[in-house]
Amino acid sequence: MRSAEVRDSAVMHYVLRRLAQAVFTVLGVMLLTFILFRVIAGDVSTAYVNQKLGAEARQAFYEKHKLDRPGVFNYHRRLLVSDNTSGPHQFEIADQNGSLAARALNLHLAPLEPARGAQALSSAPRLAGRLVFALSPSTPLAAMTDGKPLVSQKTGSAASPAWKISLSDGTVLDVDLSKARTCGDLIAEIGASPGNNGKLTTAISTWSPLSLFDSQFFWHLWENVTFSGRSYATNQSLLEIVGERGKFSLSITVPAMVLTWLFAMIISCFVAYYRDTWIDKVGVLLTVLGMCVPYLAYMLLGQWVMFKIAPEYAAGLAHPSSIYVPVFIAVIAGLGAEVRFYRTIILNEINKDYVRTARAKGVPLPSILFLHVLKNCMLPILTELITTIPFLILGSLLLERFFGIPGLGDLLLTSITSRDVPIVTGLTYLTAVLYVVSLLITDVLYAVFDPRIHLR
Amino acid sequence: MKKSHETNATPVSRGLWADAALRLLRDKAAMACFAVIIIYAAIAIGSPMVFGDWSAAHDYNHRNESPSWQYPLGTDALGRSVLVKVFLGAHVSMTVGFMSNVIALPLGILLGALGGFFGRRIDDFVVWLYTTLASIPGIILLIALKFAFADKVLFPGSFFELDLSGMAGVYVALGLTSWVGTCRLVRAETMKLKELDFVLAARATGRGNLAIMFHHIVPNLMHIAIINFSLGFVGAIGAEVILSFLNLGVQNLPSWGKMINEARMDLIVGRWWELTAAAGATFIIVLAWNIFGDRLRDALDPKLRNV
Amino acid sequence: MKWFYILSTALVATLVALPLFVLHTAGSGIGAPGVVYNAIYSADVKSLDPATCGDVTSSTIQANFYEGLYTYHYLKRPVEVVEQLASGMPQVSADGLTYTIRLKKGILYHRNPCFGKDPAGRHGWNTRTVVAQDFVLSLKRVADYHVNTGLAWAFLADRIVGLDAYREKTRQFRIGDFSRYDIPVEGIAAPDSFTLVLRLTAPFPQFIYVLAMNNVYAPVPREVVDYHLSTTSDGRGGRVSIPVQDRVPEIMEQEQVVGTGPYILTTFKRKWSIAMERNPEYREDFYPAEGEGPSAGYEGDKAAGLLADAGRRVPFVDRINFRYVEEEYATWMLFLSKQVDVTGIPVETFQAVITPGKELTDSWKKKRISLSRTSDPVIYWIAFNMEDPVLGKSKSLRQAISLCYDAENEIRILSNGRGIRAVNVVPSSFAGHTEAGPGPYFRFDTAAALRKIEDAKKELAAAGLLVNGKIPELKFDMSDGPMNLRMADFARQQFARLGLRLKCIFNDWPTLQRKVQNKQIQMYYMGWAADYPDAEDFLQLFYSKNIDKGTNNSNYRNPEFDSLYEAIRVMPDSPQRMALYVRMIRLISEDCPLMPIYEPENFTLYYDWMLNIKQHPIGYGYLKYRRIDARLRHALGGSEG
Repeated sequence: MRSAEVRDSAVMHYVLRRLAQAVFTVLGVMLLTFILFRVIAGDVSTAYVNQKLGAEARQAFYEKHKLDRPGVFNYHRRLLVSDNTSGPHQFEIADQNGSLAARALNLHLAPLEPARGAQALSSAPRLAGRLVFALSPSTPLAAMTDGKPLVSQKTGSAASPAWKISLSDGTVLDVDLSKARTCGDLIAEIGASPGNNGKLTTAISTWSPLSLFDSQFFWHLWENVTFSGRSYATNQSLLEIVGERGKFSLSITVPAMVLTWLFAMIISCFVAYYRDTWIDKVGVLLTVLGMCVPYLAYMLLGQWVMFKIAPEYAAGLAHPSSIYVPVFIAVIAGLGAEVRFYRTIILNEINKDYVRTARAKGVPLPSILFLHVLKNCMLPILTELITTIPFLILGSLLLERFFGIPGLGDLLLTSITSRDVPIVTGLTYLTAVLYVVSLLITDVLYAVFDPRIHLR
Repeated sequence: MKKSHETNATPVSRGLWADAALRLLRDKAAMACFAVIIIYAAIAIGSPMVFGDWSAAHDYNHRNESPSWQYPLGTDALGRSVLVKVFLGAHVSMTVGFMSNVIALPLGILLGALGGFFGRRIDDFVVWLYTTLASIPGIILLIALKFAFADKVLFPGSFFELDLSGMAGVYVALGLTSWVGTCRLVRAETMKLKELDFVLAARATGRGNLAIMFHHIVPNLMHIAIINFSLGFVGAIGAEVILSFLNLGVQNLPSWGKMINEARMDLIVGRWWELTAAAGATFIIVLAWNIFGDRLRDALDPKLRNV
Repeated sequence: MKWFYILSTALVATLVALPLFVLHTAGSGIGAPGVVYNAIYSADVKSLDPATCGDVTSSTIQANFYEGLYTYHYLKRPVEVVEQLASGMPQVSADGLTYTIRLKKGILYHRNPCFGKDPAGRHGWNTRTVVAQDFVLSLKRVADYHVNTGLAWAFLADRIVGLDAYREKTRQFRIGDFSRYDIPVEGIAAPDSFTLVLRLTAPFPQFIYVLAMNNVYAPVPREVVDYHLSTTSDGRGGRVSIPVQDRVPEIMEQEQVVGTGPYILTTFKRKWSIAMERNPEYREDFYPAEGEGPSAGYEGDKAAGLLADAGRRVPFVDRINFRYVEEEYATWMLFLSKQVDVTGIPVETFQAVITPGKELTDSWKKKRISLSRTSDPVIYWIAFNMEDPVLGKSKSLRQAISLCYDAENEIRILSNGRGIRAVNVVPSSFAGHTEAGPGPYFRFDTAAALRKIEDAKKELAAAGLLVNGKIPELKFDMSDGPMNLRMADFARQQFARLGLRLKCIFNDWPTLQRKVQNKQIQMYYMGWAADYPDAEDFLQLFYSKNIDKGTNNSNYRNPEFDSLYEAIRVMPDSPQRMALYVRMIRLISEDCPLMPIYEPENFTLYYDWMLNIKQHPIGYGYLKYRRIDARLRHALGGSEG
């Protein structure tokens, strides 16, 4: 093979590898958010459902947000009970005294869809603690109900257990269950109950590969990837929220980043030019001192100073230009670290052999600095900038909270406290994707502009 | 080029560590900072014992007083001496800084060395792990972990009992989220060391992979560990301050972050002492660590080693 | 290379100036004509729907759009119920079971597209008068199973004939199927368009107060349900039906808010800004001509200048802007820079602003700021979980804790003395408080506390609950927040006096709620604000049947108390009832299922250009009485308009 082809296929190989890594990283982020914010967070219904309304209201909340699905894989067979009538009422199974036998069987009643007229009751049959994969006509009822009685014992009708099934057109069927022992018996009794002329049919669902993915984890993935989450609290879609509040966050972080970069570049070039003189030493001292003051102290002092000088700008957004107060604070707080970083990079370059050679040949330092050194420094500096861009959209969580700016960072903080999971996972996902993309971009930049890099 | 006095004698060859120690000892600024660190550590260890009965430390008749002879740094809203709070806060900050590193450093070194040394799939896994963690903003992870830790106790009843709802939760959470930087550096360094001759020699004599890793490579990474210890310490103190701002920091003891958080409104009415004391205490120790860390890095950096 | 430098400079400049372009449209209507009142809200508005409204922030905002049958007089104290949309007080039958209410005629709703086109053919500009059937609908919505009500339903459950059965029936319906609102309810009838007849299951003497929760039981026109909740815009000016299972049965958006109130909601951005404008067709309502007379500690409304606008038509202010600011000191700064007209006083600045005599300092009066003080019928207490093995078993322990808690100092230190020590379970302004007298254990007496602790140790030892011979560590749950951090420190010190170890646990609000409901807490800090001016509102918190309902969070069970409660529930005010109240209050004071700490006092600062400020302890919807002297504000440097 010719060398160009070798290089091309190496590039292709490299690009594919990096893409695969990127995809895996995003998957990893989604897995991590799932564990942190869904598994560990546990039951979030207390924040959104009035507890006094009882278990049914909580169940409705779970169903609406798909929290009633199993965690990772959904391999439950279903007992499909199809209401083939159509009417305004909700399909319901009750036993003789009105308590829901559905609970005994761990059945969930899904909302009736008029177009299909069918309703799927998912049952998670347990056999001595293990899930039963295969629901068949011979599965004993005791296994399906986890040992609990099929009909609630409060009715006192252990002698003649029965279900009352109300169909959506108002028909009420009495299903006699005294002789039912297995799943097949149950199906037969429902079919044979008087008044049921094909209006209510029962069957065991066949397992379809797609239903395996009807679980919380995969819905979580889907919601993230399609960015379709909706806030539990306000039902706004994520897109709306980002559109509405993102501009506030960006209004702080974008100017802050640009100004920090600008000042840091100027100062570090200046300091590097005068290295080993007192200017350098003073500069280094100031940056180190600046880095050591806690961020919070900058915010508090900054706001206090602002308040003494021009109170209207100290908080809130009455004037758009009052956004520059947090911007200014962010710049000052971040300048120390940035200057140090740039200075290190520039000095590394200046200490290289070619610079020494050029000096020895008599080339003045300023032109070396601007023509050669900076160009070579651009790559690491640019890399650092690009990988911080993804985190711009979340804004500075602390500044937003402090100054009362209604941005995304503040929203993220309150969403974590109030357990508004879709917002938290959605915003985290967004940041992660942007970060991964930025990593890819920097890799490409390195690959293209730095011929020393061997593509692995 | 300067020549040494004994022009024909061979120069004394000292090991890396002895060399570094000597350089540091000669460096006045570094020694001053080290002294500050030792003082803080002493305060950190001693203050819980000296000021143990914290709950009785109130004095309702002396609330919000400015600094005086009796209360050198003034008093806070409940009448407690700000100086005592600063000392107890030192205990919190130093413990958090130290313990979070105790968790983060070994984790970072282990994963970085494994990834750098073995390459291929293991390396892919390690890179995937730390890229995933780096994609999520640090504060979010910290908050999520703190919520996960609420009310949990690890290894109850044993000597290692960790009550995660208190200070232990703070440094465990910090430790679990701050190992990425170390890991990256260690991995890069390991990949370089792997190619060096002494590793080849060790392989030639038939030493196993793990033995090579732990006997030869890791000792050469220690300088990274020490440098990152100082960085990590500083980061942990800063993170603790931010967590306290969000009411997620240490609850039962005073901490500098808590003091700064509570002092927000005080500045407006002219009560500057609590904020200044806490911010000042933080500033001094962070400055000391920064300078000491810098000098440490210079002393340990092989590249600056021209005799 | 020159173009590179020019381009990059231009890029940098644009990026830095970006906010100015992006944000200038995001203001809250500054500069529009009319007098504007600038206010702050610091918690998210949870609901705009009358049926789901329950918390203070939502009520404060929502009561400007919705009005109910009755309300409280703005100025008179003690509070008095007056008519609002009803015409005259209700006619109550002799057995106390039937309430006949006549409505005022000619009250118009806000103009809204749901009423179709107006006579001139303009869409979105029509309205109609309020009729009794609208009240019937709003009461049904409160009972609707699918609507996430809390407070509103709590007062109607078990009280109105046929309403509980109606609630059961609504369960059968799908969430979006609003035909359930057509089902009649036996106890709610509208014999004609301006008469409402309500039948109760048992006499409920506090029912008039329930009806005076004006914003909760406000009328809702059926058109809102049929238009806003059942259909949505198709993007081309028409409407398309929403699928039944996707419908949301609650009012959540700005354009869905249709009430009769003095203001119309114009902007609703959650956690950001809420703006409202004067309703040009608001019914004739006038500033009250009578007020509170002079009494000890108060010069009387007339002398205070609160009757200057008597007889003038309300509302006064043209627009109200609520801005969302969560941090207290940010609000403080906005107030000091005159961007906001009214504020509370943060704890830290209190001493600089208020004298020990609870008056405004002179330097602050010079800034043309005034102070308004009210005592709220709220009690904060530490609730003990009576089902907890340690606290529930040992009455002496609870009594000991009550005796050793230095509440006066807590009020002085943590709240700047803004409040009075609560001495029994009923607020000091309520009838029954003085009659029952202070609880014997609700005072600070260390010696007595130490004696009680010995008794407690014996009791617990007998029950085998001591750990290593000492009382086990007690857990104290509260919500997080800087004030609670200080209180935790303080509490730990109080308990230490008795040799008790206290572990303070901070929870965010949802977790705290969950733990309380699941009875997982030992002690927790809570407050209860009176819903109506009757001691029964506080006594019902100890009725054992309310444990399942969720209001009896101490899980207190006492058969004697229960039977007394069931007796007073149906008794109108009388000396006999007062005697029973006294017995019940004393039972609680003896059993100590809680330890009352304090009743807060509300200190509000406002600039002199804000007129007619008087905080109401219970009711909402009084912003219409506030007036702004715009010229004075402009002269003093406040915001324009």
